[in-house]
Amino acid sequence: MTEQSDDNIEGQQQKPSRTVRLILSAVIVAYLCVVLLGPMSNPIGSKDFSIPLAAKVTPLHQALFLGHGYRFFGPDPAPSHIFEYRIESDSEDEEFIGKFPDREIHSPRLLYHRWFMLSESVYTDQVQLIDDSEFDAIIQQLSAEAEAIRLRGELPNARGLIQERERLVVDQAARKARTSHLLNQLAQFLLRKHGGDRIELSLRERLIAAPTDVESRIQLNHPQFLSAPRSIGKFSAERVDGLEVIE
Amino acid sequence: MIRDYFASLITAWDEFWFRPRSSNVLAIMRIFVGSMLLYTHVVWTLELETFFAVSEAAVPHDFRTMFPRINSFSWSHFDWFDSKIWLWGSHCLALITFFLFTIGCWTRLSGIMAFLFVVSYANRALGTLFGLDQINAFLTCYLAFSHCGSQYSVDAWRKRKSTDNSEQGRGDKFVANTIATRLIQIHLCIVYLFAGLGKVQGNSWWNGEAIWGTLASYEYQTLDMTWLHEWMWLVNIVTYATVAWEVSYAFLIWNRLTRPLYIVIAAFVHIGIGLCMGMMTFGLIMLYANIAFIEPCWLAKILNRSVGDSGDS
Repeated sequence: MTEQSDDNIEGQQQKPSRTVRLILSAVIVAYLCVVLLGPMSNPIGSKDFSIPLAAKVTPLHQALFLGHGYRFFGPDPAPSHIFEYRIESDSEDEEFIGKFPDREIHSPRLLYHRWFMLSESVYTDQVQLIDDSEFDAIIQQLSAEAEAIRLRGELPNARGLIQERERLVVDQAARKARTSHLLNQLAQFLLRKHGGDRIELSLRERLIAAPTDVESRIQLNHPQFLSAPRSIGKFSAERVDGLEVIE
Repeated sequence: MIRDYFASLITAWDEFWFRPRSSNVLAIMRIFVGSMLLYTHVVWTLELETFFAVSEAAVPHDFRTMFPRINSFSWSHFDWFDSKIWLWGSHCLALITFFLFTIGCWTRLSGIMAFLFVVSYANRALGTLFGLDQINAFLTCYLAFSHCGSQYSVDAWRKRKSTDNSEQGRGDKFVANTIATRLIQIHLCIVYLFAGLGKVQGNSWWNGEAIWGTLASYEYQTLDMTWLHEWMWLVNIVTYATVAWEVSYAFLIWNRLTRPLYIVIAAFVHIGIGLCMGMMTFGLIMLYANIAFIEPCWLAKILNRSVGDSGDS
């Protein structure tokens, strides 16, 4: 059917006028650029092109819940992480041990997956948190490089390194504050839920079994694939107005 | 000659974006996506206070504001009150909204409200999200401004009752449907393209063992497929085929000959993810998004309904 005959069908909406089409086209192109800037800047992007542009449209990304990277199972299927906690009480000898995700408790599967993602989020923030002394060394090295470049007269390059240093400082401070805030709130939540006076939080990593492991009849949940728990904080419920980090 | 080229380019652009399109495919998508929204948020009900309360939730309500370069545009209505009555009241309203959207009742309003609720829940529950939430959000957004409520809906039923016979049977083709469909299609292509390109960076997608990595992950596993260790050549082929399909999807889904093949592969891939990796919700929502590539005339034939020649290409 031709366009002309299609447009003549009774009750069918006509194509908009040329002016409206022009405006709509501009909006569509701008919007698609906004969508595209998400995966082009997250989790990685060009610091001179896509990242600064994406920063300009951040309000739209956030308001419309866009700006995602869409790197599902990329670059590689990774080991999974389990959040564990041990709660002690002054009045009882026994301690309570729990974890998430836990397929025995979290059901239906979608809810299990929510807890699984929370565990992965905690891990991601933890693993990206650079140790203070290591971080100081990185900052000092960047400062020294910037100074050397400045003395050679390459001012734009020196300015770029200084900006990079400032970005790292802001990111590290934000990550530390965010991680501490999240762990504190999680600890509060778990103590309220299970009762108790002290809680220790830790993370474990479960490696993916190799085909040869399965060939040797080793189960996927065999302890050999599970790392030792890595403590990520101890919290006490002694203070009324919140929790106090004791370690 | 150059003038002719640009003239034909503009005509093609107009055809692509502004040729009125039937609502039947989007209406079917509304039912599927609406059902998914309803299910997703019914599941939140089980731990509503755990994830959405202001002061006593597992994740701090101001967690998202602590990311650099995230500002107040990352909004959520859950920040506006610290009362369990309001929490449960607004949740009930959200569930009713998703239900109304699914059945196509006051679809214009329920569609916009559904989108706002989806974004609001996602922003509040940062840290517990995954692909499902991202796809839910953009599909709802595009469906909300289309005429997805004009077929297979309470709105359509009410309209049929209130109009006389002479009014019935008229075409229901709208430019908004075309724009919504195109945006869903292009957004889906972007999703697949970057999912594929992300995989190309990984060693396991090159050595052919990535699919094994997804099947042998204990936390994900729902169906035991580890017997495939005896068929690693097959795992390798499926791994390569997955990357090839994802990367090429954005280009070959538009071709009439390859489109059915790509949709069939999408069905296998996403149902496979759902069955083997316990992410049936994610698998299904990706499959629902693929429905946008079914032509209205194809669907009309499938449903044995005469909607005339849609003329969509």
